[in-house]
Amino acid sequence: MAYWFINTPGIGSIIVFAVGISVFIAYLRMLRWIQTTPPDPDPKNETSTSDVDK
Amino acid sequence: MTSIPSRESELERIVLAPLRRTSKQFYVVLAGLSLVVLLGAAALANQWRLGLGVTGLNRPVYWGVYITNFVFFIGISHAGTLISAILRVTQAEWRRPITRIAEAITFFALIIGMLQVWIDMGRPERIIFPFIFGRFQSPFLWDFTCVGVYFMSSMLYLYLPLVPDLARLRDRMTDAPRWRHWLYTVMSFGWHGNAEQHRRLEIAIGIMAIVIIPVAVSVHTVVSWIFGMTMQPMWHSTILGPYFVVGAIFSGIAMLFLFMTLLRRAWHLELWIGEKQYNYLGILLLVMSAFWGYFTLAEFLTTGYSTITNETAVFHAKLLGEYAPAFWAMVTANLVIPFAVLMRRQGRKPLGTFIAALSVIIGMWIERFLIVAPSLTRPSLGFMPAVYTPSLTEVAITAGSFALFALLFLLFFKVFPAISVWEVEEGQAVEAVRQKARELAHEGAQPALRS
Amino acid sequence: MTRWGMVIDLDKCVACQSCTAACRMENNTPVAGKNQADMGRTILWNEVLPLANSESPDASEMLIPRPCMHCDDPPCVKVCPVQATYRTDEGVVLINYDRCIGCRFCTVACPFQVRYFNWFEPEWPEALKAHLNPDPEVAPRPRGVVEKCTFCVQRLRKARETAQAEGRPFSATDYVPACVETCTAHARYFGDLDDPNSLVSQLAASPRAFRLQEEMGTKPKVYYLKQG
Repeated sequence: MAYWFINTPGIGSIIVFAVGISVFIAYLRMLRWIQTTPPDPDPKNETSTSDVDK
Repeated sequence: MTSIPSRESELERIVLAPLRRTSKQFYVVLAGLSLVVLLGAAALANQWRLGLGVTGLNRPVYWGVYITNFVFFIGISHAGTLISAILRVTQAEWRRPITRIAEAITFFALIIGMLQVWIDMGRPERIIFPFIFGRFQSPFLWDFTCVGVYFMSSMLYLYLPLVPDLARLRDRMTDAPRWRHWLYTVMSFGWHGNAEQHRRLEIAIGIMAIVIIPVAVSVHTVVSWIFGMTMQPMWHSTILGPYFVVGAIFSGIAMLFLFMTLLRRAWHLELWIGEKQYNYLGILLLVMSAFWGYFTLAEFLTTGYSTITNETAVFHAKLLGEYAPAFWAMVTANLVIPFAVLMRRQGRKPLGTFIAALSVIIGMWIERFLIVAPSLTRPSLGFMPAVYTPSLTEVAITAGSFALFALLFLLFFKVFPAISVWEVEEGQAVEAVRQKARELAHEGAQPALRS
Repeated sequence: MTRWGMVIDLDKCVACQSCTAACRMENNTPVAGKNQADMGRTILWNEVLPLANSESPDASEMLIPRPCMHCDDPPCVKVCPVQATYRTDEGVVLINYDRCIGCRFCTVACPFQVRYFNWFEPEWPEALKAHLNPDPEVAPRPRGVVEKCTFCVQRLRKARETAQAEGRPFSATDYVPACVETCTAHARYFGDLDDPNSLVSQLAASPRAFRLQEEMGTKPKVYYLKQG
C-alpha cells in the first residue's frame, strides 16, 4: 500500500516545495532568458530614450 | 520594432498623469481605506489575543465568514486569468486596455484570500506547520500546492507585460522621486526592447497565458474539494468543483467591471476603456450569469428532488428556512439583475454594468456564504439545527479585508500605469496597418472596376 | 492486536448524564459558562444527545450518549493537514495538541460532531479547579486547538504500567474509560472487539446492535443496543 505516501507528515510539505520551487526556477529562467537578449549592434534600432527632450 | 518616440503620445500623457500628479481625492480615499484596514487589523489583534471565541462560530458551525471570504477572494482572483489569458490566447483586440487591471485584481485578491486562511486558524503562530508536517492526503495540501503555483504564475503574468512599460517609466519619469525611479530601473532589469527581446517577451507571455488557465481552474477546484471531500450534506457533491470555477470567473468579471469603472473615472481613462470593452465584457458577464444559473439549478434540483434526509434538511433551510432571504437575494443579485440590465445593449454601458457588477459581487459573496454555513447548521447526525450569527469582529475583519484589497490595488496603480501602454500602442499599429491595407485594396479595386 | 470498542445498551441507559460528568472530571474539559453554552460552545466529550428515532412509529426521541466513535476509517484523520489527529494501532483516534493548527477541518469532516474546539483559554470555577485531574496527559488543552474523547488513554497507560509493575501480562479487562466505570445503570461495556470471547465483541454481534450512521462507512467502534 502506498498509503504512507499521502499519510506521512512532511511528505506533503516536500511535494508543495518541490512543485513550488521547480515552478519558481522555471519562471526565473524564463525571465533570465528575456533579460539576456543581446542588444542590437546598430544603435539606431535601440529604444533607449535617453535622448528624450524635456 | 517600434522605438519609443521622443515626444509623449496622448496615450502616454493620459495614462502616466496619475503617476505624476496626486489629487486631493486620492488622499481622502487613501485615508478612508487605511482607516478601515486599521479597524480590521485591530479586530484581528484582539482575536489573536483572546482566541477565535470572539467570532460567532460555534459547534457545529465551525467555519463561517472567514472561510467564505477565502473562497470569495480566491474566486475573484480568476478575473485576471479569464479576461487576460483567454482573450490574449484568442487575440481579442479589445482586451488591450484592460488586461493590466484584470491581472492586478488576480494578484491582490490572491493575497487577501490566502490571508483569510491565516485569520481563520486557531493557532496562527503554527502557520508554518503545514510546510513542515504537511500530509498530502489533506485537501489543504492540494490547496497550498495549487494556490502557491497560481500565486507565482499570476505574479509573473502581471509582471511580464509590465516590463516594457517599466523601461519606459525608467526613461521617461526621471523627475519621479528617487525610490520610484530606482524601482522602475530595478524592475525593468535592463530592458532595451529590441526586436529579439520583444519576440522573447511575447513568447513568454504566450506561454504564461496558456499555462495560467489550467492552473486557475485547478485552484478553485481544489478550493471546492475542501468541502467536497467531506461527507457533509450538500458539500459532498461532484458538481462542486466546476460550480466553484464558474462562480469564480463570474465574480471575477464583476470585480473587473467594478475596478475598471472606478479607475477609469478616477484616472480619466475614458478614451481607452470605452464602449467596446463594456459591451463585450457585459456579454461575457451575462454568459457567466447564465452558466452559474444552470449550475445552481442542476445542484438544487438534484438535491431537492431526492428524499435523502440530510441533504433535504439543508435544501429546505436554504430555500424556505432561515437562509431563504439570503438565498433569494442571491438569485436576484446573480440572475435577475444581471439579465435585466445586461440583456439590452443600452445596459452594457458604464453605469449599467457597474450596477450589475456590484449586484453580482454581493450575490456571489452570499453564494459562498450559503455554501459554507447552512450545511454546517444541519449536521447529518441531526440533533438540533444550529444558529450562526457573525460577530462584529468578523464584520470588521471582512471590511478590513475588502479595504486592504482596494488599497493595494489603488497604491499599485499609483506607481504603475493602469493601461499597458506598449500593448495599446501595438494595437494602434495593428489598426493603422489594417486601415492602410483597406485603403490600398480600395484604391486597387477602383481602376479594376473602371477598366 | 487489541481493537478497543464500546457497547452502550440503550435499554439500560437512563440518560442520567453521569458519564458526561465523569468524563469532564477525568479529562479536565473546561467549563464554558452560560453565555458560551448558549452559543453552542460547551465542550462535552461525552454528550447525551436527543436524536429523532426514525424507526419508531410515533417519531419519538432517543437519548443517545455519544462518545467519539473511534472509527476504523476516520474521516477526521484523512483531512488533517499536519497529522495532528491520528489513529493508533489499537484503533483509538487521538489528537496531538502540540501539533494542531486549529484549522477545524476535522471538526467539519466528522459526521458525528464529536470534536470540540477551544474557543478561549480554558476556564473553571474556583471550586472545580481544585479537583482537576493532575495527570499530565490530560493537562488542560491550550486555546485554539481541537480536542475530543480519547477512550481515556491515560487510564490505558496507567493500567499497562500497573500490569508491568505487578509483573503480569496486560489484559484487555484491566482498563475501562471513566464513563464506563461510572455508568449508574451499567449500560456501558468496554473491551477488545478483536477478541471473540470478549463481552463487547459478543454484544456487538447481537441482533440488537447498531451503530450511528453506519451508512457513512466510517466503521465506528461504538455500538449501541437497540431500545425495547
